Amino acid sequence: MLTRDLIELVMTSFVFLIMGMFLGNLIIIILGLFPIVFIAISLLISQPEEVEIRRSGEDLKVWVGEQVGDTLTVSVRSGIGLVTVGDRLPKSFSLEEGTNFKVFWKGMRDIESALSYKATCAKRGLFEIESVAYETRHPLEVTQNRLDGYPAPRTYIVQPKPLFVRRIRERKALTRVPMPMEARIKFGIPTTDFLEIRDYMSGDSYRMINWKATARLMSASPHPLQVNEYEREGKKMVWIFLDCASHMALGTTVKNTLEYAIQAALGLTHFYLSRECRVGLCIYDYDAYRWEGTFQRTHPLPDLAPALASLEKMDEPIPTDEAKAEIHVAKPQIGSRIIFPDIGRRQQLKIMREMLNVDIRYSAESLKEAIHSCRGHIIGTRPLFVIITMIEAAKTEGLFEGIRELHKYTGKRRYMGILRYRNPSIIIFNVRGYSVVAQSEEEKMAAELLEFHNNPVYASLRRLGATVVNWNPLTQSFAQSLLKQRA
Amino acid sequence: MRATETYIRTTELALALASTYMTAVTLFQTSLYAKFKPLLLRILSYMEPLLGGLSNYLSYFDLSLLVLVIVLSLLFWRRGDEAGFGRLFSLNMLMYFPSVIDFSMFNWINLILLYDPAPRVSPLWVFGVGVLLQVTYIALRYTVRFRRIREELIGRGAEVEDLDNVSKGQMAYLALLMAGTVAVLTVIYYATPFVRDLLRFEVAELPYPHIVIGVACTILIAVATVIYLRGQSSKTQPAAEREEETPPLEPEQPDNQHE
Repeated sequence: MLTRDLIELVMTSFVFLIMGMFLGNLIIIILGLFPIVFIAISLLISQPEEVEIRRSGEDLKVWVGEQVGDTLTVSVRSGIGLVTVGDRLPKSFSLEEGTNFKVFWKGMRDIESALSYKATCAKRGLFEIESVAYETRHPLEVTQNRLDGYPAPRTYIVQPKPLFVRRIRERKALTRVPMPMEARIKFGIPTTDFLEIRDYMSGDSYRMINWKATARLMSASPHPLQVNEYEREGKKMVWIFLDCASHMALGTTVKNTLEYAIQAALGLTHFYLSRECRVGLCIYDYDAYRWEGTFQRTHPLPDLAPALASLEKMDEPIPTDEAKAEIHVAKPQIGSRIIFPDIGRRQQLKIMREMLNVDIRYSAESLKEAIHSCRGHIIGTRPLFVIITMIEAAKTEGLFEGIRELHKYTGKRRYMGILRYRNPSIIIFNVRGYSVVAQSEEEKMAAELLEFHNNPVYASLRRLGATVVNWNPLTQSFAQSLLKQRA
Repeated sequence: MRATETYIRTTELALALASTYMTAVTLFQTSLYAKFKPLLLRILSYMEPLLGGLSNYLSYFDLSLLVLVIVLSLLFWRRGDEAGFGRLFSLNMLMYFPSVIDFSMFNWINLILLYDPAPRVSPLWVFGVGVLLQVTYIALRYTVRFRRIREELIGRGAEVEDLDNVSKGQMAYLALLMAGTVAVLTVIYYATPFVRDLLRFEVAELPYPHIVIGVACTILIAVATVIYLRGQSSKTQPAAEREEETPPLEPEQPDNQHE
């Protein structure tokens, strides 16, 4: 497509020609040919056509805050004009050295030039650069600029830095945080650690019967035999629930509440995995309690079979594959974001890989729904639950419901035939988002005030048996925040 | 301002002043100006009580006019945008027009005001000044664009040394293109009398007046130009299509990233 400028020149030319005809003036007519000849010659020489770009760096896996570098070699052949080459870096990359954008003048000779740069990766994630954008322009821009991309793939994996808690120098510090209470699992070899007394069940060994307890109960009323239950051999378990609701976006793109929460989650993962615990991760949305809940059916489904029995069959049966495909379409786009508990370095890498993708609204489940989704791995165990979030006094309903749900699955215990309740181990790790975002003194005061509003919520949470750990990432280290929770 | 920008601006100044000076000088040598100048002087002499001592300098009228148009030209150059250069072109054309009238077959002004066209410049001079006007008009259009491209690329993070190379290349390309166009036009100018002699008898036998033939020729040129430009357009079409497929450049880049 030709540019407006070109049309203007052609119009000028015709004005001259018509004026020359009107006056019968040969000079004007010949002058009228000037723009046309000018355009014709300029169009004969096209803009650069052949652009080739080679990338000489390599795919990298780096930590947040580290630098990556790349060198691009650009060859331009044929045509005359302006060439711009730009390697589009991810938004969170910060250019430190060199340039990722270069302009060349392609004259009569072919050119080959290089551009190199170093950039700091400020945010975690998996970044794939598919192509290098280039643009060729006619020297006078009489034709449309050509915007294209040359395939030159590059992948950067930027891993978030975990906040390690390896050594605590304050030796006198006694902290309630953060080990799980028991290593209890449903299956496994029984240990000598006594767990509880329960009713005799078919298959139990006679040696396990507690005759004294049985006699005491049966003297009062008819009662089944009582057996001693011992702890099963297993690993201690930790469940980390990470909040990814929109309020976690407080702060800048690079340093926001979610980023700090992820660092904390990775720090805790590393801490517990290095202490032989099984660690599981579940990502939830703090705000999702407002629209939660297809898993709890309040009314049973109506039985339609009698009504449908009288109807004639109208359609052919749907083949299995098609039916599956339809079900797949009907599923919600964002499902559960759960990594089931496991041990070792493999689990750490698994959680790290998941963390690369975590973003705001990464999960659509509320805390209650998330707990419900992983209840199969919770029931019968006594894990430590770490809920990493930002507590807001204005909306705590979802958090309280979630904690009640935890009580439901882990709080019950039968002792001497009587159902007793005990509090599950819950740590609410509160990242103080308002403090993260506060810049000026006034904003810091406002943040303090908002935090002050949270105090009744903390008290309520503590009454529910949870430990609240407040962390201001700008003033406290991760270890310091844990140390503050002394017994 | 960097040396390359100064070079572009100086070229613009030289072109603006040269074209204005040449058209003004040409104007002073036209018969229309010679006819109107005494009238103007007479009017100014009536205003002697108002002008006072200035009336003694009426003999410097040409020089005053020259200074005035040069100052105007400078002002237009100082603005440095397309509108300013458009006005410069209008001013130059206004001064150039009387010389064109002197060499026209149909002197429409002569119908209103009788005078004998007796120019003191040759047709080649008028042609040369006309070419200078066209060169100035087109060159200034593009130098403005070159400066704008410079600013745009600086905004996108290009290095100034690279931009200097680009600007030099663009200026050289423009100069070569201008030289080529002037050469082609000069050839056409000198070839016209021969072509005219060859065509005279052929055209004389045509049963149509010359104005009809002229209009037909203009339409033919227009059609040929449109066809040529469309042909060039179709060559660049695939690129335009690719442009649609390519996602637009992301506007949101960190402060220190380029482009």
